[in-house]
Amino acid sequence: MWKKSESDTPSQSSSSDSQSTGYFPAQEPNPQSGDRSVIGSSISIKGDISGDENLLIEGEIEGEIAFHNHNVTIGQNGRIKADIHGKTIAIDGNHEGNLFATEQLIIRQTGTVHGNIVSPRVVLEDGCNFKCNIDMSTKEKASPSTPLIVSDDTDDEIL
Amino acid sequence: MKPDSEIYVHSSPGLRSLCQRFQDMTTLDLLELGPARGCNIEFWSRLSNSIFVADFRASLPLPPLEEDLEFPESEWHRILDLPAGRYFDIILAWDLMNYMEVAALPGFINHLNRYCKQGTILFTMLIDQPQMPEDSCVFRIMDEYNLGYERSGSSLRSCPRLQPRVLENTMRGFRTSDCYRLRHGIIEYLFSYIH
Repeated sequence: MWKKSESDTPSQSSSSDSQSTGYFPAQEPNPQSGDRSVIGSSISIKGDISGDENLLIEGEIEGEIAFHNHNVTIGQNGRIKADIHGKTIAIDGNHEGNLFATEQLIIRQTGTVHGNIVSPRVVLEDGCNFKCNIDMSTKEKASPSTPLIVSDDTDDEIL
Repeated sequence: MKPDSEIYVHSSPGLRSLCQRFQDMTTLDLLELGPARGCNIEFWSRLSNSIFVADFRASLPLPPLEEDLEFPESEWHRILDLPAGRYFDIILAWDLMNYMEVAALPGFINHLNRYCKQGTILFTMLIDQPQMPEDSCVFRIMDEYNLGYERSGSSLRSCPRLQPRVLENTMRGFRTSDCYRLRHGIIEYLFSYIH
């Protein structure tokens, strides 16, 4: 079992594990374009913040972050203790609190999340530190996909 | 995924049976005892509204038990902290029970009982081989027929080879619903909660 056989197939990364997953869907503003506000790594905020533009946080925030119609990114240096409301939320840094994303939530490889997630779509990259509850009840159900492979383990025994 | 990890893909009739049982459910509450994997979350998101990722694997190995003593309930709440008052439809225990002392298993099952309701299905595996990986595998759902076994490192350890009868007697509150002996040395179990 622990040696590769001919029928053993190398892993295929799922779309949700893909390293090429962008922070945001293609139609969203390019995160590198500067089309967003930045809270720098030397900035520390205690209190609630809200706004009507995309936001990148590299600093420290304790409070509620409400950018309901925009994208929020916690950068690798970001340290957040707050509930976050956003359209798409991407976590590269450290987050404690609840996350409410109306479109999708992305936890990157360097991301750490302790709290609950409410989002119709959740993307986790391998290596992220994640221990919490995911509530996806806001989305419509998709039909199960067609099976990709039927392996040759046909002599497995039903006991 | 760690750079030295390898993935082996095997068919999983247990997973297939599990999916078939719940395919018509409109709401589903799932407890993942393994670590979070994006492909698994995506797979279950088609069926499940809510997933609690407990990552019990990170708590292993458990502290050694004193002879004939069980962990007190409070200790289980510390080891495996689950949301109070929540009852899951599916519990994914994977191969984790092979990595616990036999004496710790009844307490583990008793702890899980608190989060079960009539019809809860617990999916677990026995390893029936002389040796098993040093650490429990991380399982990746490739599709509803196939599971990827992700190993970290190549070192092996002796396998407790827990006997099916011993396991079944340990599963207080559960009865064996399905059982599949796979040719690569894994026995997949679906246990149904009937308390």
